[in-house]
Amino acid sequence: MKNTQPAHDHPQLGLFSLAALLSLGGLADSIYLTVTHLTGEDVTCIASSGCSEVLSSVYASVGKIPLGAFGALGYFVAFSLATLAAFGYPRARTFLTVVVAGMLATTLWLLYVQAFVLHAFCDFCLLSAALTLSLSVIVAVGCFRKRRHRTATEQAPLVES
Amino acid sequence: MRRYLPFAIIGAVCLVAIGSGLMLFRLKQPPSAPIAPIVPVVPAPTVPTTQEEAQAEPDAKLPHIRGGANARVTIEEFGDFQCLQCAELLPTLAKVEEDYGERLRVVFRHKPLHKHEHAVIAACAAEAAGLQGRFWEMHDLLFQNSARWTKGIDTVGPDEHPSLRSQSNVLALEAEVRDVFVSYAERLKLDVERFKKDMDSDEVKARVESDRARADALGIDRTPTLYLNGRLVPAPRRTLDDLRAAIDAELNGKGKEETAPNTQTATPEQPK
Repeated sequence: MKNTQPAHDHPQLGLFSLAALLSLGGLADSIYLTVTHLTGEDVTCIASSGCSEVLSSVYASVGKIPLGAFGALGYFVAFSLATLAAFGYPRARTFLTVVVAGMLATTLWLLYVQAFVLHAFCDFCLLSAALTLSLSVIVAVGCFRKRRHRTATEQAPLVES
Repeated sequence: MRRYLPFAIIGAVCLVAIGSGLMLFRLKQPPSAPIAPIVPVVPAPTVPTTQEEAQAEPDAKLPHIRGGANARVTIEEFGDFQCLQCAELLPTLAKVEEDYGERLRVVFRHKPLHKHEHAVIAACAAEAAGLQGRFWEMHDLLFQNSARWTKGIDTVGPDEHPSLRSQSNVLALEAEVRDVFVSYAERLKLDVERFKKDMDSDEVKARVESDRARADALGIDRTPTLYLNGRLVPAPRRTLDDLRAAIDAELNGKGKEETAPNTQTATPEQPK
């Protein structure tokens, strides 16, 4: 119970706020991809040329559920956990790490599929990949800072003695 | 208060996400207004039966029809030969055509999208083949090999072949694409010289533009767009099972009650 309460002693508001903002970007991207999949709209790429090829491939859905819907869910969960972490909920940080690790693994798999199976890239998928990679970096930095903070806290009494 | 703030933010974002998703879904829906689907088998003056039909190029040329001439169920497709989703729909439509035989009529209309640079010339190739009575054969060849001819490859075969996948995504030049279409014409044993001439003829171009004008007037902005007895088939319902269920419903007389949003104007004419 104690762990679920906000812990204001180690605020990482900026870091997790940034993670929440990136998650919002990913959420918007995923919602757009889900809607275009459901309406059957042919997505036009701006920078690359493989949107149609990627988004109409067998990898674009799991059964009847578009992959974008899973992405939207993942980003929403990441947003929620990042928000809670920003407000100092320590457990949220742990769960955020797990969720972002899962998203990173999925992103790497999808990048592999685009590069080596479909030989085509989709702008919106690359944007999502960039956001997930950024989220991963933020979470890694958060973990590193937390560890450093813990080490410093543990060493403090030794210095005094 | 601060304790509840993150949950309030999360709740607000959840509501905004769901709301914007639903709004976007509604905005991006293709026009769902029913259209008059029945195409007279014998050419006759067309009398528009709906407002949409009245606005939608009443003089649009008779479309290409496959299946039962007097079938009770008509699937009307607006397609683009350079559209991957259209190519992917081909086996599904072929399967329902095979399953329902004379009880189903499939209509194809051209809707070459402006962003597909070879879509118009492909439509013209299909029409040029149609002038020699081989529209559907060319239609099938174009869809089955769309990943090939768009890259200027003149062989035919499954588009999923790994060697094809490893090809560059750079589109072929129009001259190269034309050469591929000529090779298809040879494969179909058409009069090749006539085919080449017809591909550039005003008659063929007007035929394609007539279909496109009808699609534009109906507000169709994507392909494939399917209508089943005049009612839009949403993209997620284009699976084999869903199409079978919809066709069965129409054959059993349940389709209108289930899906027609405006039965007053959707009522299709009975086949003559």
